[in-house]
Amino acid sequence: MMSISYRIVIIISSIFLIITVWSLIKRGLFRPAYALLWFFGSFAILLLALFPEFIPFVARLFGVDYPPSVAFAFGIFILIILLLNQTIYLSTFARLNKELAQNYALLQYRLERLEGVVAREQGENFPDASQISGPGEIQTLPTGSKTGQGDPDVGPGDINLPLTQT
Amino acid sequence: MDHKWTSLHIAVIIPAYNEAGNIAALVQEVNQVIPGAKIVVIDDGSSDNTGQIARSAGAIVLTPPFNIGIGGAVQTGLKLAVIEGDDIVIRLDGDGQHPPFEIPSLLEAVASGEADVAIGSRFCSRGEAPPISFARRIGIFFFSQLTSLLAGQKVTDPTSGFYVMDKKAAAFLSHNLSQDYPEVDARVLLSRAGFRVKEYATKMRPRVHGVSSITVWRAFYYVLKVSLSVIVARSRTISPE
Repeated sequence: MMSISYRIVIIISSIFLIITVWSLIKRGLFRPAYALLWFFGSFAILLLALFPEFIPFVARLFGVDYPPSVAFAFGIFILIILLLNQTIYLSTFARLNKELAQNYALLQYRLERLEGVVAREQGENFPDASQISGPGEIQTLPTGSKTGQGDPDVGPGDINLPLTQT
Repeated sequence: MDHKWTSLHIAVIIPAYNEAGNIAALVQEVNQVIPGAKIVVIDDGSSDNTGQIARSAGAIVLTPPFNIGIGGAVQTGLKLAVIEGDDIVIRLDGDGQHPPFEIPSLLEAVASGEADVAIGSRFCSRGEAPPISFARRIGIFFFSQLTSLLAGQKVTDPTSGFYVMDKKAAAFLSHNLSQDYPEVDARVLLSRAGFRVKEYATKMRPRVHGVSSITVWRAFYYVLKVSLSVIVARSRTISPE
């Protein structure tokens, strides 16, 4: 039915595909969870090339007049599944991306407000403190509190807690 | 204006994309109508200085790092209102088509407990022709029929984004608002969740500066997409909050 050379070409291509998928996973370019479908697909092609009687058998089973169309249908089926999967991932990432952007905007606003509070506190208290205390403190205080790290009232938990709800 | 609202924390959410020409006047108008309200402008990836202008007009400006669509922008504002525990959330379009002088009547409906969500409609009663094109009117008629059917109540102006809502509705929408066609979907989602949604006749204005984000050529595609979206809104899983 299928010529030997054609079978060899398909076997080699499918093995090549499996190796490619495997090396992509190994190099961290493919997440194993996403690669599972590709493995199924490429192993299925390999099996069909190793056991070519399967396609005419299915064609007889479903009364298909032209057996090669079963092979095409099979290929298209795998592609549809893969594409559906891609769309699911794409939609998920779009949603996560949106949520990330929203939380970024909210955190940025809260940071700006916090910086305003810190700056105001600095303006009211620190100049006085600097006049009272020695010169050593004058230089460390403004740089330390400008970044907001020096303020003991501001824990990272305060900023993050409400945002993690959604 | 009215002293009975002063005890309420009111947040006004205004999504804006390239509305540098309209935003300052809108923020000032809102401030006059409901003084003391927190005005939150979401500058949704504008390429002009919308955010800067809004900030100097006295609004709080939220700036997503890129354009996340009107639904995403509104949701950002809703999240802030929920975090800060605001009692009433008002949502206006950034192009100024929802006149702030109409806010008090909608606000009154929610503050008095007559409705959980009060929505400004161009089409219920009053009978005067709103300034919209014939093609758009056909689209809105189609959507109002579809949305009425799916929401199980009469909806005259499904694409209206002029909302006044209470705390619970704001929390609900902050979880469930869809990203692309939030207004039409929201009607179906709100009624499914059991909120009392009421429409009130309000005037709307044509935009003063800039161009609308919906062009004629995209209209047909828009109708198809919104139809699918609203039908999905009927059955998609909603977060109970």
